[in-house]
Amino acid sequence: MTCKQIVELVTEYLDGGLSPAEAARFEEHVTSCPPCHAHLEQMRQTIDAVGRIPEESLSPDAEQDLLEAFRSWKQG
Amino acid sequence: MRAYAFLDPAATDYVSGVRWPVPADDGPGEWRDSMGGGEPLRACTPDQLVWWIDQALWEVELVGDVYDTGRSLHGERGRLVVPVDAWSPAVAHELTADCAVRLRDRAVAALEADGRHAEARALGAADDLDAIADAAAAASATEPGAGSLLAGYTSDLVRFAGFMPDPSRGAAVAARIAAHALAGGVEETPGYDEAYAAERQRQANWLRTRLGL
Repeated sequence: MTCKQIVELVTEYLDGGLSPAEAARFEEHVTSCPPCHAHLEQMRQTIDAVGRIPEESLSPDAEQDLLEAFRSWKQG
Repeated sequence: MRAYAFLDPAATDYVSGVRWPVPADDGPGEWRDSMGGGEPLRACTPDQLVWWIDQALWEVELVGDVYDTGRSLHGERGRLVVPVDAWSPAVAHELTADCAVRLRDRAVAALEADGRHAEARALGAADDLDAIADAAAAASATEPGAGSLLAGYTSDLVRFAGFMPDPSRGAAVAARIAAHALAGGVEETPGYDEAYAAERQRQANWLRTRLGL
């Protein structure tokens, strides 16, 4: 497994979506590749942080801005 | 069941990020539960240690259901029991050297087969890591062929292991490069997986014997 594949698969790995064999190869690579380990940790921390933001903490203006941004992105 | 876990100095699993409670005194640490549905509590058998090399090695106790993935044990609940003092930076360095010498010897044989006797002798005479890296780099740079390829891997093994932040990470890199190179260096080729697994098993045996486990 290459560093490029690690980047492509990291969210699937964290979601538990890789097969046992793929997960084993992913983990083996990360164990011996500090940059990929750092990437995995960053993704894990990001998911952890985002997962702790409750929807009701958004102000109405911020919610509206986000909805408009997503609509624009879909149209673009 | 008794098992083992390679962890960083703060008792954190390098891959899962799970931190085990460290014993406050000579007894075992507090129990820790796996994060149901999240990161498992990972440990391993002595034969699986080579996949997870890190700075600190602990004997651990797992209770409840334990799932063996083939490369690690996933437990419901566990605790650290006692550090394995036989593991040290010096032993990590020994493992790196063992992998380098094994790959060097294969490169020497390939250079001989390629008719490059002088380079084979020079590489075979190199007996410390820096000398192995220099002789291997010189042999890899001259012409194509199996000897050059293996010499290149030998040089890379020593250099990349040296770039790592600590000897244990260096040993992890060295072991992986050695297995990859000795398996032929191309994952998709027939026989690669078997040869890779065989070298990993040899490394596991080395580690188990060296640590007296």
